[in-house]
Amino acid sequence: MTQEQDDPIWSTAWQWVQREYDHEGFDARARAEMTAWLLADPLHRKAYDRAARLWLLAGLVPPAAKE
Amino acid sequence: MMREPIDSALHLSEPTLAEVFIANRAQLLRVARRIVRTAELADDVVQDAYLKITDGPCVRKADRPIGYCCQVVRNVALDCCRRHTVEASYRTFDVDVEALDVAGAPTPDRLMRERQAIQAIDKVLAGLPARTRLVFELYRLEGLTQRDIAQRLGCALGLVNGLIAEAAQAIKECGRLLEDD
Repeated sequence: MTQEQDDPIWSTAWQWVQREYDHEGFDARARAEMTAWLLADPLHRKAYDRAARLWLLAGLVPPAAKE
Repeated sequence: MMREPIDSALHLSEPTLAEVFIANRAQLLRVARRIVRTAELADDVVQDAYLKITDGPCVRKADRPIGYCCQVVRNVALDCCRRHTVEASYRTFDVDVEALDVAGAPTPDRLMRERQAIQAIDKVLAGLPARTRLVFELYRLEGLTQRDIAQRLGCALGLVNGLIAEAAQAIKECGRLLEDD
């Protein structure tokens, strides 16, 4: 219904947030690459902020009830 | 005398999440302090986490209230670090830090949207296969690394990676609920 799935900026932002959270694999080079992407277009930064907020909310869900 | 059973039932009722949070504030501050750089930031994190728990996007009751409080504090703290690191890396590019997402008081509209988003995420997670959900929870809610998870479950790192990607892909679709603010 929405173009969400196909929005490349949103997809890239979501991917960056995932990579960034995975501290083990996120080195200085990846950080610099992400920063360059964020600075390239204000829309990138906007999408990134939204993706980070979504990822934070995903961390606030209580665990599944134990049966 | 007739009222006594009711009274004692009231006394025995479980403490609210907010009460649990306040009673364990010292422990929660330590959780935050292990993640953020200064005691002042840890204070801010705990305050922010408290607001998230009291008027925030809680969807349903947590089985282990104290465990849930720790989870919220840890994740708010990690998010605080993330923001600071992004700010710092902007500086290495000689960029003024002004366009950052402001963590000020959220508007009622924003709170409502966040509530809707978290409900949607909860629903999406409930629809995942049990193993995918378990791996996601260990990663995102308990803060284990992918390597730790592979070790704990005795499976390949690649599998853990794939299951997390699957959960993340499902959550991604909830992002439209946060649009336009």
